[in-house]
Amino acid sequence: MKLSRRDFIKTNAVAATAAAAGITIPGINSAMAKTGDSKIRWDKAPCRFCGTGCSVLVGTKDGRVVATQGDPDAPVNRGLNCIKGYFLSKIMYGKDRLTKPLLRMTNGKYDKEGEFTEVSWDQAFDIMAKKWKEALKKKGPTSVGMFGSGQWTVWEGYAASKLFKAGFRSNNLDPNARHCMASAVGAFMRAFGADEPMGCYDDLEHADVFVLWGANMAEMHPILWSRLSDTRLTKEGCEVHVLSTFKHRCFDLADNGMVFTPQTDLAIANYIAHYIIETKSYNKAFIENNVNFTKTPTDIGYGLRPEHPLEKKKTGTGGKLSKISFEEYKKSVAKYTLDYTSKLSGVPKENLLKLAKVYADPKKKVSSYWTMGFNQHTRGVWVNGLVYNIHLLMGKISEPGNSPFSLTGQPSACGTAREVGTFAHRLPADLVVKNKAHRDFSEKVWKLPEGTIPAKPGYHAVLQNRMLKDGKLNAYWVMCNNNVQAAPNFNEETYPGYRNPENFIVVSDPYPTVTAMAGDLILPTAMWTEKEGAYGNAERRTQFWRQQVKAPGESKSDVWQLVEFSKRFKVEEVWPAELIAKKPEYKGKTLYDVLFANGQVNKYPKQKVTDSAGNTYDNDEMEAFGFYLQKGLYEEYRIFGTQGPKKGHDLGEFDAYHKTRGMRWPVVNGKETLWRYREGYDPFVKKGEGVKFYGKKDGRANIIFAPYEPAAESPDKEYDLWLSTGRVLEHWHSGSMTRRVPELYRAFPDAVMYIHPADAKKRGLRRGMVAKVASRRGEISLRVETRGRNRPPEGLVFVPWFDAGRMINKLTLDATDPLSKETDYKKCAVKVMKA
Amino acid sequence: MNISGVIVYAAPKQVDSVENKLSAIEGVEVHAAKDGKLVVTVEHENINALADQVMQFQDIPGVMSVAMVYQHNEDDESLSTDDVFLEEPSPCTANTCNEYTSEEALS
Repeated sequence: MKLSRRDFIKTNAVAATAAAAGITIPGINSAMAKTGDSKIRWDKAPCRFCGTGCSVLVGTKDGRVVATQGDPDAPVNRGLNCIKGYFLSKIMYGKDRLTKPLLRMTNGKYDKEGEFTEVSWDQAFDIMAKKWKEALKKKGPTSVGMFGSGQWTVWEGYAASKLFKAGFRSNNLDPNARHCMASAVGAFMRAFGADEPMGCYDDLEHADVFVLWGANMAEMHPILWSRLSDTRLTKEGCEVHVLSTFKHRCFDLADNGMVFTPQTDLAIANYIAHYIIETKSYNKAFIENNVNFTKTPTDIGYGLRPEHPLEKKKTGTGGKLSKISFEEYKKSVAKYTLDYTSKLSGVPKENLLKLAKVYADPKKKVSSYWTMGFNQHTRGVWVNGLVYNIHLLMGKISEPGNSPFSLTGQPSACGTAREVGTFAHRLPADLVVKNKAHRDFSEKVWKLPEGTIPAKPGYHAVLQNRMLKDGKLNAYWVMCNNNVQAAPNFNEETYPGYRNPENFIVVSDPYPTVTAMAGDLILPTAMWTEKEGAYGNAERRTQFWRQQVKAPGESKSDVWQLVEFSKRFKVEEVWPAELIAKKPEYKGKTLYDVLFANGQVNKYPKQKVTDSAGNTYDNDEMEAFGFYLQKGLYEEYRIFGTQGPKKGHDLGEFDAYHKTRGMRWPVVNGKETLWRYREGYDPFVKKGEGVKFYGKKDGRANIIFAPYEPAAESPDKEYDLWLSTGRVLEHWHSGSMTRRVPELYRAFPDAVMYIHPADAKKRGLRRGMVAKVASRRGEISLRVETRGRNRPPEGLVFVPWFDAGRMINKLTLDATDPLSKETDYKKCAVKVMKA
Repeated sequence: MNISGVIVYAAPKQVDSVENKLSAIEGVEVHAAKDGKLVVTVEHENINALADQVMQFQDIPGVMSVAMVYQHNEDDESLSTDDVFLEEPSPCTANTCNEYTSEEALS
């Protein structure tokens, strides 16, 4: 048979697409001639963007990534790609890549008001070390800090944690994951005593019913949405319920779409619990064996500055749980009747009832998904917990298809921020700095004198910006994130903090983001496949990749920067004499010697990195330090999971991950775990135990009652609209990568304001006109959109945050969940007028 | 010339109308449809237009989701001059197609 090359390629395209869709097309076959350009080397890597963790095949030619495609062997995405993943190969090649360190200088000297000037790495680290030492001397360890990332590789987060918590003895290390996942973490710890979901993506095929609570999967997790759509379209009786404060693309597939008044999700979840109890549908045996009933303190404020009137008004504090009986719990939720909840939320009764019925039906397998709608919430920990309550009442948990599932927004929010514990209060594998036994264990693994790690949690994300503004945090390193654009309340907190003359701000980034431009020293950074890496996705899957290409110019990876910088400090410059006296062998040593050349991290000698096909790969860090840095860091980190005080955090061996499309932890004897806490699936649950929530001492999960309480700022007469912020399909987060891909930029160039046509009309606005949107904190101008993918109800506007030219965080309020310290980006009050 | 393979997920009741609307677009072909999934190829002179095209798919009423699977990009000349010979066809199952594409990609 002879075909033209065009037909041949098209046939290939059809074959691959049909295979990925699971469709057989007669006459189309897989036995194609090998047409792969033999000059292209293909290797796997997880996608750089969201928390789904799709695997892509990366095609490299002449030292440059020229192509990517969905990895057909990847269990997560099965050959599929979303539009961002499709253009992954272009993210490293933006025209304005930074290639040299840049320092603000005047007349050859550092000057905070000077112009960015090229300097060498040596000069960069000189001034940095000087500023760090000055701060440490003047005000001690709490005056130095770092803002890290859920986009860091596992070993980058781990190296940062060691350098700050042990080296500088400062817990002022927090990741940008604080903005996205902290409420999820808080709820997992409170309910189950262990972080991260019990289920996995396989639930997307096993469930009969899907409920989306504050997650726009169609745009934010398109590949998971494709899998969900597939199940909805092919499984008889499958239903999709969608809850949101505005209509979005997921409503197109919804059998039960519900738009609710912001913050009333708290009431809706309690109504479902009430319905389950009222109809006696709950799983009595499951509750008796596996659950404790508790309640949480109420009226706990809004995580604002202490002098804010709302903070002065609060009557409760914290999240200490107290035990209650089932009867007391029943009484607590009794207030949330169908009538009350429907009136409060604005959701018609029949829709609420329909939702309650599927949860209460013991025969229906229900998977609940949520992301930022729940996490970015001043009652985020509460509302996460309220959905666990529903699943626990029904026993619909920890088995195929029955799955309360917290999705993540960043590629390694789980793997790095959460599992490595780069939060201001955490240590690896669910350990916390407050707990003496946890600090002791960490110090033992790290071969450090007792008392090295401070017990007091450091400044969390929002507090870091406040402390910068107040001049208490003075030497500050921002790495692998764009927090000037991402943090709330830019005008009142972020910008004054960065430009406070008392502070020295270092920003490591591949591109001149607004954060880099607001800093004093910019360090050019290697990204994604310019280094060897590991990410952990939302279903506990850890995935590795090899370095594919060299970073441009003098760019260096985050891990190189962290480890190399540690050479600039003698222990005497950072630790008190009493501490050094406990380990006199460390006298005169550098932090590099103590933290990284410690016999563990430098244990694995330099080697050739190859794949199974015999291709060889660079590893620039191994070249620079003379040992396999990534492997050493990872294997030391792994001790926390296999030998640490918390059960069930085991990871597999380093080399194993380079051979697989990832494994879901706990990994025991080389085997991954798909569903946790249930006998037969989880190796930590013994025969006969059935279900055991072993994160808690008594093996029981907590049902936690929490009431509806209003938002920190609601619309009033002057600021008469709700503002919700978020993402769009084409751009990822602040757009620092996706806006540099021409195709994605053109597809959605500038942020727009989605508004109800009636609201627009009332203000004399029409689609396409420029409007001004203002809060009490700031204003921006942007175009009005009354149609398209997002359709807000009257009284609410939605503005995405990817656009550096229209920064919506000038308007947002820095109100946080007092428990998780995560900002509520979904609710504040604004007014809209003609520009 | 750019050729791409795309899966379009359509609402069950709107599969036909989605298929008709897709087929009406120049360079777009629907090769199969089953269970709300359409196997679609898109041909375009340049990859920029392709991106725009795929984004527009999302705006067709009834389209639930779009996933990219395969792309090929090369200049026109090689397409018109270079013929290839195929091996004898064998049945395509999900597995064999997967194996094929991955082997090809990894080789």
